[in-house]
Amino acid sequence: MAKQQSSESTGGVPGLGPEHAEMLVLSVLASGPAWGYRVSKEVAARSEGAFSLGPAKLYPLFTKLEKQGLVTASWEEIRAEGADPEGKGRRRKWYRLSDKGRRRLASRIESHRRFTALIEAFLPSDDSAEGALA
Amino acid sequence: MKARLSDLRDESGEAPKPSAPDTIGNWLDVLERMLALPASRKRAIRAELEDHLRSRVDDLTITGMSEPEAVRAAVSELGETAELAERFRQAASVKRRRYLMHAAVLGLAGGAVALGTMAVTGGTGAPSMVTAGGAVTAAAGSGSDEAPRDVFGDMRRFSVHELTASSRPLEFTPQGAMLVEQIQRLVATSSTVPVPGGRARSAVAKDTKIVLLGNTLFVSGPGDTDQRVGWILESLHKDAARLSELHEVRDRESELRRHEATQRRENERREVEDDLEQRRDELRTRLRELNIRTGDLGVELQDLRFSGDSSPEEVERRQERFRQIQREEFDLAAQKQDLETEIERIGSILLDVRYEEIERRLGSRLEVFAPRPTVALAEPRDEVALITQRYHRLREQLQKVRVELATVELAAPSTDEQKAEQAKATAAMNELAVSLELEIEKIKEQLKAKGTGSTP
Repeated sequence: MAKQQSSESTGGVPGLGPEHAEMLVLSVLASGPAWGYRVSKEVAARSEGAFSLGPAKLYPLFTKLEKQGLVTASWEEIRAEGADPEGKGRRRKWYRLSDKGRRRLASRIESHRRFTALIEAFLPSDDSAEGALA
Repeated sequence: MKARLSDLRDESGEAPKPSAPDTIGNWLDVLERMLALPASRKRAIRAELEDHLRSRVDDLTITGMSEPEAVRAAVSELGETAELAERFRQAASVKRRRYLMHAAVLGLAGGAVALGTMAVTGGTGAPSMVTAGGAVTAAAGSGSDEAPRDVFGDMRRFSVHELTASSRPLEFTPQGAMLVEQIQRLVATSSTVPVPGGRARSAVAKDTKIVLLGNTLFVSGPGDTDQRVGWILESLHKDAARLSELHEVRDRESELRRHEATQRRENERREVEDDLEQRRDELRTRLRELNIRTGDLGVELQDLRFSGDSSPEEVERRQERFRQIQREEFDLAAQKQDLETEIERIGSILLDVRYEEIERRLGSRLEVFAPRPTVALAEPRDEVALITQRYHRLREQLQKVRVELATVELAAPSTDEQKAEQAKATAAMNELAVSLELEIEKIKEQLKAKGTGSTP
């Protein structure tokens, strides 16, 4: 359990709430279709390791997004190079952003920007930041 | 195409040992059994997680980790199996909740449509297209529309897809029929007609045609009919969105309440468990004390039996002390028996409490992969059983005393001192035997009084 918590920690930055996690996943899928593990790695890479969307959170989230029609899914059978073509390969589930998902992402981004702009109004400017916080 | 580690070969040309497939497969078996979802859904989740785990193992082994280590790390990242299964179950229940919510939204359509209609302030000329909040969109003249143009001609089209979360077209639902009926009524041209004693309001839907096909609404009518329909749908959509937000807030709150209730239950369980463990520790300590006291008494008894010559007063005093020790030993034995019974009972309750907790966590599926232990949970013993047990113990003691007495009597002491010692020991043992017999008789009486009918 402890291991899981550490793997899903956010490395000192504020934790990922459900809405943020949804926004990150939809953002990654906005760049193109991807499968779960790839999305997980992409989130870690884009946030330089600050955010880690572990499988325990990611796959139930995908289930929810799929149910809500925000993403569509399709399966691909993958097989190792040189493997028996008659043999059974591994199944990979690809996710794509739906139109509804795009609209939801746009709405989430807008809300997020509004929120950060509001917060920004309370913060001192860069020049005066040190003085204000001194 | 990504190669599976188990499909790769090392420099010597040998395929890696298939330790990962077994471990991962076993873990997936357990998870699959714990998922309270339809079989097809279970298989899909299994396949997806298998892909994840194997990809992760491949990555970790590239970083230098051994395959078994990588498997362990990958599986542990998924967290507690039962918790993961529960997360999937909760995620899968989203759609059903939303469907119910949308049904409720359409049920409230009357109110919402009324609001929408209130916004209609009169005709403004030619019909216009309406896009409501980017969600209710009119698709007039779209070449890609699959609607049969020859039937619907130049009717205006409105997508009502956003008003239902179901994959089933709205057309086939009672809500769809209700929507058409209400729109038909509310887009009718309002006018007044003469009636005896004055004029009355009248709604005429003449020349207005509304068709719901799939999730597309086709409308044609005079004047501002299209505009009215647009406003009505926009209003419906806004209400649906508001209710959706409300529902999400309610979902979050109920989730929080559920979590708090679980936490509370868990705390209560821990308190009960702590109390029981504390009580059991106290009883064990007391039992240890009694055992020590029993040992001390045994030593003292031994000293009394084999002490040297004494005056008649001293002999009398020793005999009295002998009897006291015997009585105390009986009391101690009874107390110990009670303590052992209580300790055993607490152990059973603790086992029950812990088992209930495990069962609660894993749900009724526990029995599938971990059959309930066959350990018989101890029933609190009844009084008769305790008395019977004590009867047998005393009988054993009596038997031992008689054997010891016979041994002492058979000895042939050579000196007077030894003879006196033998006499004393014999007297003491006879006394003990009598006490035991008396105690046994008392127990027999008790058992008769309890109605057992016969001697055990």
